[in-house]
Amino acid sequence: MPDLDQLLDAFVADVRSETRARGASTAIEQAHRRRRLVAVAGAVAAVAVIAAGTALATGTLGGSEGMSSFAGTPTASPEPRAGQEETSVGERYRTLRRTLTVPGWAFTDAALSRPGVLDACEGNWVGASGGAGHNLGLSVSRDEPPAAIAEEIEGFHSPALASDAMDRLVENLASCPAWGTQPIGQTGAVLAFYDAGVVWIHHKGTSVAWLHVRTTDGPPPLAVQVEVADLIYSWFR
Amino acid sequence: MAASRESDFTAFYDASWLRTVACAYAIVGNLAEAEDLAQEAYSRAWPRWSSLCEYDDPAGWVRHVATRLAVSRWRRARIAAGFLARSRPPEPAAPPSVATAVLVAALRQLPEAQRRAIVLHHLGELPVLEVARIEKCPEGTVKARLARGRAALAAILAPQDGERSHA
Repeated sequence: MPDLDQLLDAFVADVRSETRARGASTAIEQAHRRRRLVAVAGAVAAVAVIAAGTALATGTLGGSEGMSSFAGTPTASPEPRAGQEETSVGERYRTLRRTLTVPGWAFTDAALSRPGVLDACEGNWVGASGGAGHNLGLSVSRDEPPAAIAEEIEGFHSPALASDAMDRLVENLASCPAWGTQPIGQTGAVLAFYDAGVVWIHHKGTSVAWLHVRTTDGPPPLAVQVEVADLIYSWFR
Repeated sequence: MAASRESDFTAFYDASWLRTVACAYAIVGNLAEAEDLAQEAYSRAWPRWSSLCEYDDPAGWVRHVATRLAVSRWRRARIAAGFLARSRPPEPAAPPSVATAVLVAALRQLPEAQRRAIVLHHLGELPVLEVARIEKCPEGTVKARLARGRAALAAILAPQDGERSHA
């Protein structure tokens, strides 16, 4: 019988001689880069919302042509001031809160960031699909009201890779005992849920977005699921 | 203050890197990939460092994240390999020792739960109680997985041991 302890020791010694640490500073920079991109893309998303608002006000947004305008021409609008961006982001979340406020189901205002249970179960769905490896969306914490909602968007190199990534995330969560998953009607979105929250996962173009809401009531009514999925879809650039 | 926080994190990183990589390597079987996963785990640790540094064993958290990432990577090894092949040429690397190759190959034949238990306990140096907490199962279950995992490893490794003795 082989000496397993000896083998494990030899294994660690082998790793010690071969591995080259990239350095804590690189890990810190990686974390900072992720955070910077969140901030930048949050501002860009706000610009897109303003562009859509402008188009609606002038009657130019409608049907697929309108959607294209929403997605592709934010620069046609005047440059938003910082206050406008904040207002637009705030409006998005107020809309979301209104949508989520239904009888018989409640979400809480507990402080949140990325849910720890997601860290443990999400796996490497971003990197394995060629994702940029960072968040390209908006993350709202307790410091930025409203407190109970967080959203992140991950960018990929192609729509197919983004689609693969979404499948992978859903598969990872589904294989984790803490999570359940279900499709949301015909929206193409998936609702993942665990004992302290629900997560909408949606894919469009080269992006996958997930939005986390804390609740102990489980999945909300289907109409709410669909409405939130539609909101997320409309927020994609 | 910030400099002190960063230097604490750097010291933690330097002290725990080896075991973190070893845990990931034992699961994915590829050192470069294991280093990627370890680095990803540390980049997730940094934003949480102010609370993680209060933990009794912050390295355990990082090893746990790296191990989880590695398990997910391993589950989709073919997809990941395809992506890596497309995105960058393989880096020339010295081959692992025979013992390491044999051990990694044997570990990959274990059921996932046993492999995680072996990796976290024997390579991650986490106590059984901590592994049980991470795995959300009773301590006895972890002990059973360790015992079965060790027995299975012995069985897998035994023929090769025998072959060497005949050589």
